[in-house]
Amino acid sequence: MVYLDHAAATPLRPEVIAVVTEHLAAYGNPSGAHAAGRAARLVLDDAREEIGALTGTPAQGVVFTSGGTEADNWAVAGVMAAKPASVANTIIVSAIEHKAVAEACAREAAHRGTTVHVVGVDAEGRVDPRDVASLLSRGAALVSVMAANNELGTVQPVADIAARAHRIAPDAVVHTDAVQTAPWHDLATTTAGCDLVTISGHKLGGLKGTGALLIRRSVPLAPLLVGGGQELGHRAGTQDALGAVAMATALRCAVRDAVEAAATVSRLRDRLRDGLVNGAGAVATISTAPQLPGHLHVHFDGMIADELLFGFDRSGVAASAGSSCASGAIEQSDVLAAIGLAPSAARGAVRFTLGHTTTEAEVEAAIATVSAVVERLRRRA
Amino acid sequence: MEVAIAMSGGVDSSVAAALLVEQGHDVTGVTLRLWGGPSDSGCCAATDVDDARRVAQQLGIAHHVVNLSEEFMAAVVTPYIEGHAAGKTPNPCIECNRHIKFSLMLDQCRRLGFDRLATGHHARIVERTVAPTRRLARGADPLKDQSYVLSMLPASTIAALELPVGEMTKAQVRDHAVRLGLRTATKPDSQDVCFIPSTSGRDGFLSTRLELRSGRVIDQPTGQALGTVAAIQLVTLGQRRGIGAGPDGTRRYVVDVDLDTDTVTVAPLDGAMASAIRLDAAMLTTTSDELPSGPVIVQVSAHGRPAPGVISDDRSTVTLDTPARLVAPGQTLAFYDPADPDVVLGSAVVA
Repeated sequence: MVYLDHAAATPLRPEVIAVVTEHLAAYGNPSGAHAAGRAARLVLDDAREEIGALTGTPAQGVVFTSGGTEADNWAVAGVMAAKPASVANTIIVSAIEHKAVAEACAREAAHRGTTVHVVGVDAEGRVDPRDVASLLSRGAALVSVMAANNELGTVQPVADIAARAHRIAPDAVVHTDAVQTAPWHDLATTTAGCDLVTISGHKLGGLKGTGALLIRRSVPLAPLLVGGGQELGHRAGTQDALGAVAMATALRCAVRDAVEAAATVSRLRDRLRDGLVNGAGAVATISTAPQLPGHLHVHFDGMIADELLFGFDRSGVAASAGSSCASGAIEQSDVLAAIGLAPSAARGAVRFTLGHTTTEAEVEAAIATVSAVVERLRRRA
Repeated sequence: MEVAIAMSGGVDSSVAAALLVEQGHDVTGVTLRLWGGPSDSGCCAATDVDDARRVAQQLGIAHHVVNLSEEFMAAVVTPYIEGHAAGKTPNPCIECNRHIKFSLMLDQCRRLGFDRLATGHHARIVERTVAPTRRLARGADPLKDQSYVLSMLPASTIAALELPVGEMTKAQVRDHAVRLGLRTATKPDSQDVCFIPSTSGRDGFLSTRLELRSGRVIDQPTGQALGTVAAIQLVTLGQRRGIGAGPDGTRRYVVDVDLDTDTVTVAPLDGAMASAIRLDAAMLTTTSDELPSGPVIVQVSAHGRPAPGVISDDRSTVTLDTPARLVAPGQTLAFYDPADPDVVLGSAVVA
């Protein structure tokens, strides 16, 4: 199988397998007042400190969660619940946020009457920071713009947005979902100025069910989960030292390899794009916007994504259609609607994402296979 | 062979998939997502997709979900609503089989390189000596036979079709599912149209999508007005339910529905019986290379009693040997071979 769905989940890094294997049998509860608890606590706190150092976050601000979705949900609900009465009951988000942010905002609107301003994007999915700034002049409790879009891979100017937000609306908390960015870019610089940053372990080559909300600056933030007061009261529940050390290790590897990976993987991605455009009649959705190195979003005009994916799967190529619902059926993407992609093109949209294990041979095989499958599917039976 | 099996999440298609695997085929399960609205049966509920996936996992085969909901809306649901608005009673399951399962899905399977498409229908593919040699026939279980809803399939489709449970009774299918430990073994059969929730039924479904009008009810023998019906578009030719009795106290049956004047004409049973059924010329189909004509066995509903009749030379009419209750326009007739009575010859839609 040629695996080109790394943005959904990427193989564990060898270093992660080693460290998880090393700690797998450790059973202590990090809250325990005994040797087993202390051993687990050491692993957890080391992981926390390392992630803080790698992301420009004070160590105590690294709060472990069950994943990116929980961190996104928490950022939105936690900020809105703790917001002082004097701050506008308003959220500003981009039109291409992950559902974990978009749906959380919709719930605030439904439950608290929050005004949710949605900032549009251009045809390649870029947010214009000036659009955010003009909305900010009316005040907001939360600004959330993702650092890079999960479907398109378009990188957003979040540091610029954060700087403007702090200048115009000092009460506003700035959150960014950096789940897709963390495997590739240095978060300390790309998300500089963001108060809250979401990351996810399994996108980095760590374990599923792990993530963190990075709290860079002390902002009013109510917990989502209450109970035993773990994570300095930010997130109740027995802490997962194994998941934490796996995520820290994966992030360390990603940061270590970032410069070389950006060059190698983006070159492979460009080769895949050219091969699919020339060989399979694919149309690249993004041409000029800055993109994550591993993302290739294309559409096959007049074709249907789930049929394409079915055909690719039968021929051993794993890709994705962007977003899929719980049943496994593919639904229209809000992101593609936001960039104004015609529905006929959006129906044939496929996301190929490369990762830390992708090889040149895999890319060449994918080009040949995808081209052959597309040609067969284009034929009327 | 490489076989795609349409898995609805029910016991029949689960066992069909298992049989294909047992026969050594390279099998892939496909579940269609057709309806996004409320549903409590059929193949669209998330729990049904889950059941299909779980069975596929248990059988060790790949499983894909294919979304044809827009096509389903355009080819099945909208015509169903419009049909009722025009005074017809279409069969949505047949239209789904005609336009979706055995058209778009089959086409997709062919392009994906599958040799055959299989379903869990209780019908059989039988071999005959005269071409086309693969013929569609009734399922082995007379109580569960579904050849009626497949009667409109052309020979080219039948040639690509596998119906693995057609030789089994329903009880045998369930026994097989129990033996294999399939989670769908005791799942109840779906009875209703997949996009119509049983809670509100057909009338509830149509009442929110059509502007229903009341109609006058006129008694044919006496000319008397017998009151009104609340929704004339929901009245079906031959219907007795909800009509009540005539002035003489005997049951009345619908013998005419006139949407221009919003009048329902009713009569005693003999007035609602007819031998001749007019056929929609555009909707005649054959399972071979020649449209059915001459003597046939006619079945007018999914589990209707087969009745002998004769299709006219110009194929505009089928005349039953003995009169039967009126059949509504839009309904499908399945034709079987009098000399080989399990074999489907073709189908027609009532004009």
